[in-house]
Amino acid sequence: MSIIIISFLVIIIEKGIFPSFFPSGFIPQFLLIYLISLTNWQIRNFHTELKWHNIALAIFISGIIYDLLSGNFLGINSLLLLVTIFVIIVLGLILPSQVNFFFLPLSIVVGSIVFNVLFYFSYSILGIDLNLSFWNYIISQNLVNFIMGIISQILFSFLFNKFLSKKDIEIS
Amino acid sequence: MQESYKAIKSFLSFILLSLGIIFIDILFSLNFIKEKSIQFIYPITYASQNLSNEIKDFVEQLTETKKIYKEYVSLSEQNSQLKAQESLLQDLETENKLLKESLKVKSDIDYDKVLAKVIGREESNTLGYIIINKGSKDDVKVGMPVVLDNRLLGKVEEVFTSYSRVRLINSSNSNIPTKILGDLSNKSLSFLVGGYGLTMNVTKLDQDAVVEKGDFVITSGQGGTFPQNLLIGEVTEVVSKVETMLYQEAKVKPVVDFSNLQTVFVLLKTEF
Repeated sequence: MSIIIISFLVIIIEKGIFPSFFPSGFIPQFLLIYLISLTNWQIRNFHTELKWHNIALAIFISGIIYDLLSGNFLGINSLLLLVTIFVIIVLGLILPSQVNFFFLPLSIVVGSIVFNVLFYFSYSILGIDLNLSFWNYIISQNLVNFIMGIISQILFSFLFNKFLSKKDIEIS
Repeated sequence: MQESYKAIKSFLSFILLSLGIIFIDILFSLNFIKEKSIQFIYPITYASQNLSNEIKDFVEQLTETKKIYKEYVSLSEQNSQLKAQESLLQDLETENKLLKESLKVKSDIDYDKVLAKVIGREESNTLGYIIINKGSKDDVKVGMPVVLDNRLLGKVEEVFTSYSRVRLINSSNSNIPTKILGDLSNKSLSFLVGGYGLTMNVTKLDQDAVVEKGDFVITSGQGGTFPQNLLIGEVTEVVSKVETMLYQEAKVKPVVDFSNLQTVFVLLKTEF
C-alpha cells in the first residue's frame, strides 16, 4: 500500500509541481524514475519479502492514474511502464553479476530509453503529436531523467528504507 | 529462480490487462470513467499546482530579495563614493575660499611701499623692536605697517630722517585687531597681544568662534591701522576655551622668524 501512496505523491509532484520549475520538454519523468528505483531496490533486496506482484500492481495503478491525469488512452502508461520495468528485471536476471552500485544508473538509462522509445512510437501510432523530433525527444528526456534519477536517489533510498516494511506484504 | 518466474508472470498478466484496457478504451471510449476520476483527482492536482506556484513565487521572491540586496550593496557603495566626493568637494571649497582669501590679501596689500633693510634691533626689549634704514626722507611716517610679502611684521613706532624704529607684533605693547582665516561670520574677531617678544596671544575671542589648532590668524582691518588679511601667525593652542569665561584665548606662533629679518617693506599709508 505504501508504494501505491508514494506513487500517487510522485505523480502529483511530476504533474503538479515540476511543470512550474522545468522548461517544457525537459520535465523529468519522475514516476518512471521512482519505479525504476523501486525495482532496483527490490532486485538488490530479495530478502525483504516485498513481492513482485505488489510492484506490478503499483505500476499498473500508477499508470492508470497517470493516464487519467494526462487525458490519454486509458492503460497506455500502465503498459509502457510495465514493459519498461519488465525489461529492467530481465536485465537484472541476465546480468546478476552487474547488480551492484552501478546497476542503478545503468537501469535509469536503459529504462528511460526503453520507455521513451515506446512512448514516442505508441503515441505516434495513436496519433498524439509530441511536437518534437525523435532524437531531440529521446536525448533531452533521457538526459533530464538521468540527472534527476541520480539526484532523487537520496529521497527514494530514505523512503524505501522507512516505508517498505512487512505492512505491504500483510495488506496484499 | 522461482521468484523470477513469479515476477515475469505478474508483469505479463498486468501487461495483458493494460492492453485490454487500451483496446476497450479505443473501442468503447471510457470517457465517463475518465471524467468521474478527474473530478476526484482534479482538486488534488489543483492544490498541488497552487502549492507549486506558491513555492515558485517564494523562490522568485528569494531571488528578487537577493537582487534587491545586491542593488542595496551597490547603492551603499555608490553612496560612500559620493560622500567621499562630497568631502573632497568640501575640501576644495575650503581651499577655494582660502585661495580667494589669499588673492584678496594680495590685492589688499597692493599699496605703495618701500623696501627697507633691517639695520638693528632693540636690545632692551627682546626682539620687540627693529631698526630699518628708511626714515622721513623716504616718506616713512609713524603708524605705517611693516610687512614681508603678505605677512605683518609690525608698525613704525618712531621715524627719524634716515632710519625708523619698528615695533614688532610680538612686543608687549602690540594690540592688533585680528580674526581667524576663513571665518566669514566675524565671530573670531579678536586682538593680538604680544608677550615680551617671546609669545603672541589672541584674546577676546568670542565663545562661539570655532578656533582650532592650526588655524591662521590674520588682521581684521578694524580700526584702520592695518590692512585686512595680513597673515600674522598660526594657532598652536586654544588655552581658555571654558564656557564660564566670556572669551576664548589662543596661543599663536608667528609665521616669520623675527630673529632673522633682513629686508622688510613699509607700506606708505597710515589709514586703511
